[in-house]
Amino acid sequence: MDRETRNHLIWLCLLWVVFSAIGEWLVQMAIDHWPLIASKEGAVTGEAIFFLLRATAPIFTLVVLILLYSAIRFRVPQDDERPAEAQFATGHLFIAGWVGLSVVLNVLFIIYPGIYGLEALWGGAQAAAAADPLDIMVTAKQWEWDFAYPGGKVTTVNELVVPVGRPIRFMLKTEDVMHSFWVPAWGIKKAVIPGETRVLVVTPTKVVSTSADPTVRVQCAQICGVGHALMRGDLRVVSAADYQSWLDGKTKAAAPAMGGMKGMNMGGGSSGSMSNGMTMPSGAATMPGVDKSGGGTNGMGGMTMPGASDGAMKPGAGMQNGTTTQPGAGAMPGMDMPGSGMGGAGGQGTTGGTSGGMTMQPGTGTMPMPGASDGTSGN
Amino acid sequence: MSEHSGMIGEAAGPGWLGHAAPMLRAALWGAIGFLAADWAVAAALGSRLGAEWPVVTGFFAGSTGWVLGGGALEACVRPWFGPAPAWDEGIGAGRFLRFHSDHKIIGIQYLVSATVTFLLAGLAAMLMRLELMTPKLDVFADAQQYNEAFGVHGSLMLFAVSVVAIVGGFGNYFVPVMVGADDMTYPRLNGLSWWFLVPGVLAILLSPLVGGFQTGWTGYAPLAAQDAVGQDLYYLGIFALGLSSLFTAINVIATTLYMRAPGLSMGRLPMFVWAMLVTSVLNLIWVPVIGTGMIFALADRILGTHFFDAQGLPLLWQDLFWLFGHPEVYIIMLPAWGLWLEIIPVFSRKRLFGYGWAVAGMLGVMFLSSYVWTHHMFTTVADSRLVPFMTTTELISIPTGFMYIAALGTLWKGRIRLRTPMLYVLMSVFNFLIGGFTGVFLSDVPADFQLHNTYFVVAHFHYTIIGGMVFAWLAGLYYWFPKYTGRLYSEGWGKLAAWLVFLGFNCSFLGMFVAGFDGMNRRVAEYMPYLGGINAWISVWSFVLGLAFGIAILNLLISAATGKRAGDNPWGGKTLEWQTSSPPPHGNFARPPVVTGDFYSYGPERGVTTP
Ligand code: HEM
Ligand SMILES: [Cu+2]
Ligand SMILES: [Cu+2]
Repeated sequence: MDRETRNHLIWLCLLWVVFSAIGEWLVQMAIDHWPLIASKEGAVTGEAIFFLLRATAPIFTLVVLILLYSAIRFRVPQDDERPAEAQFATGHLFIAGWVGLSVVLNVLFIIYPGIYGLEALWGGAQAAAAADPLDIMVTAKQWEWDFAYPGGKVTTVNELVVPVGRPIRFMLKTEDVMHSFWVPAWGIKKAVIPGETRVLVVTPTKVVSTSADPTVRVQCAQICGVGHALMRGDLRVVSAADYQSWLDGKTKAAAPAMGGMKGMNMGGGSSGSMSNGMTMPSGAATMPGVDKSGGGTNGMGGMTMPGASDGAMKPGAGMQNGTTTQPGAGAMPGMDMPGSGMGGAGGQGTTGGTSGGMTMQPGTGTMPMPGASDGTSGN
Repeated sequence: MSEHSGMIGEAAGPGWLGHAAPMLRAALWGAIGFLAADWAVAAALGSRLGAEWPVVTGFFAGSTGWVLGGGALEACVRPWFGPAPAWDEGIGAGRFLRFHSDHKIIGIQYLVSATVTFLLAGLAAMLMRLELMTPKLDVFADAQQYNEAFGVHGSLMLFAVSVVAIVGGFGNYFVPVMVGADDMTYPRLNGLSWWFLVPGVLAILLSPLVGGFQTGWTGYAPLAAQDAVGQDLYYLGIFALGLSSLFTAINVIATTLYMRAPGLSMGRLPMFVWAMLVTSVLNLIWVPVIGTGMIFALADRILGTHFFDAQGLPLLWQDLFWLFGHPEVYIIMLPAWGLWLEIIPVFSRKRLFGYGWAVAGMLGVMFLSSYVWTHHMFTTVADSRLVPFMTTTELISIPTGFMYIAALGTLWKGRIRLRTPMLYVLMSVFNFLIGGFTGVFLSDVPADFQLHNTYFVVAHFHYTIIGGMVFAWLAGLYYWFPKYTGRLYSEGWGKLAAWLVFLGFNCSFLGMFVAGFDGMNRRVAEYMPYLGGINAWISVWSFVLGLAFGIAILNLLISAATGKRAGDNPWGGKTLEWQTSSPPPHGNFARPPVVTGDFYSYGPERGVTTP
């Protein structure tokens, strides 16, 4: 290596150290001022972002430095046409270093934070299933979020209240098009797909609310039509005691309206009773492959979607379709399974309950009822 | 082909009307075709003129009328019935306004239409940013209009600008010249290709007239099933644009494989031609996939099939869409890399570094790009698909890095002349680095669970598309300007615009990363007030960006009319296009060139190519 090259490289190294340090400092500043992270899962995804910021800063700096250093240091007047003195076409050290480094970094990033983070999320979900999670049925529809709490008495619209510190298992369904359940401060989202039930486990770690911090909100994150931007719900994370008293209050308020629907169980208070009504046993709900079990719950999609197939579905119409087109729906693939009729019956409010053989969450049957969206589940 | 003889002399030509006659005929036949079919079907079905079947049939009839009227009737259809193909290729400006078989004319047609579409779709972006200046809805009448605006903006920018500006424009113009051929292999097919572009652009642009589409450029089912007739025009428009790309791909592949000058081995192929070849292979494989998807989706809407609704598989649409959609982003970026590596040696006066690595990198990207599509669906698919696609996605950064090896290695110890094209290339190298590094975040599944569908993604893909491809396209527009116009552009205005574009772009789109981190989801006309500050910042800078693009393009237009004569080779380039006159004559070379060395030697052995 000649002297001139050595000088260039020494300069580059010095600049690289200095600017990498500045870069890391900037990254640290950003992390210190990061928006709220208020769940265990958000800590995992946030840590992935932080790690990638920290790890890529010096590499980014290096490449930009080579670029800028060359552009400045090797610059000549713009009409100087003489060829450069050095005319090498390859440089083994540079290429080997580059390729080697990029392979190593790739393997690293795939393992950490990639697979490691996924394991943390999946492991957390599995542990949550064993640890008495709070099951909340989430029904997305144009353009609102409906939440049904265990016990079947309390439903809310665009208002989610959950206790801090306890794993919450959201069962996500949609009545019409695709949506996506996202709480920015919880750091995780999951798409809600027609015809499937998705499960998202979140463990809130902070007592916060939308009014205190707007990143604490339920936000649809998948374009779903005109109301997409405003398809959001208030979220309050409260202490376990506050949650209980809120739930009790809501239950009492709902009781008079429940009338002839006493048998209705909208979610099962515990995983034991739930497994009656649900296609997925509680343990399975957290398994990596669970998404595929959506096939088993296709009946739900089949029930609410017929309107879409003939182009007649209008915004907001999916709800009514679910009940009114029930009789004719038998011809559809999704409806052949046992129990789908039950779901329909439940929808008409004649029977209900968690009797065996239901392939779908009984809660589904109640959701399409007119009036179900006024905050209580009565007619 | 004797009909070419007319175009050499530019003397006393036909008047304005004579020049434009074929295009006027095309427009007339297109309009008549559309209206007649629209009306007939509406009358037969007793439906409105704007209903689904009338519009869809009208589109087919109108496009056919347009393509035939432009000259395809004489060039392509009449020969089926016996007579030899014969059509008037016009002279002067008239050559650009008709069916033409000269690849250089077609290249200019693509460049002009891509620029016009870029400005129109950019105007939509300006309106969107104006809307987003404040948290509430104030510019558009309702959210529906905003949704239609980003659908039109995104669909046009991707399908009618990004994937065709460089391939259709420079690819058509320069691939034959750079391989020493006199034209493309299939000139008439080539002539046809541009004519399919126009109905595609019009369908998407005018879709708001029949209710527009709200799904954005990705057309996700089953939301698409709810949309108005505009959704059908999205399917049809993209199908037509796909045909256009497909025809070009066939020609580029055939021409590079079979029409190279003597001595021009594949190992000597210029980087830009490699990029065009690789891109065209991707087009040839994947455009039919998206075309099929569009037909299925159209069938869902007008024939009552159930491919993509809840009785079928909504996720199947996403798979089909991204099977094409991800290779597409490399269809966008590979040509830009080709431009980097073509321009950097010329303005560094230095041999291209790591030619073999760069070619291997392009091939590696081509191969891998077909195995990563699920990274757009991390929050929608089964968990079992996450790790494999995270792995392939991250791996693609390795061959991508080879482009940087070649670029940086060439710059190192070069004699760098920072003329406008070089400035744009270096800016593109910088911007794409940000696009690439933020792509690493999105390929990491845990991080993507938070970042997906936020403004982080919007910033990321604009960094790759504007930052990478549009900057490179501008570099190419300036670099080859002397060749395709025969004149020099204004260097001062060129550089000023370049710096303004750079400033406006980075200031506005860096802000979008912040908005994404702060919890702003994409495709919204309204947002919560706490995001107001950052959005106002983004909007103001994006207006600077819009203005800067205007200056950059205006500079080219003015220079094309008033610039000094350029001479054949103002930058001292080595590739074959610089060894012929500016612009090249019909047939490209006075005598067929013979290649005796490689194109990237600037040392003592300079001048090894003999035209
Ligand atoms: C002139 C500067 C530009 C500005 C200010 C701009 C701004 C925007 C904005 C605000 C959105 C909506 C983002 C969202 O909510 O999802 C958007 C979407 C998009 N832009 Fe641009 N854009 C510009 C140029 C471009 C260019 C040059 C391209 C490609 C060549 C492009 C491609 C896209 C695409 C593909 C989308 C996604 C549309 C969708 O969501 O379906 N944009 N742009
Ligand atoms: Cu939405
Ligand atoms: Cu992709």
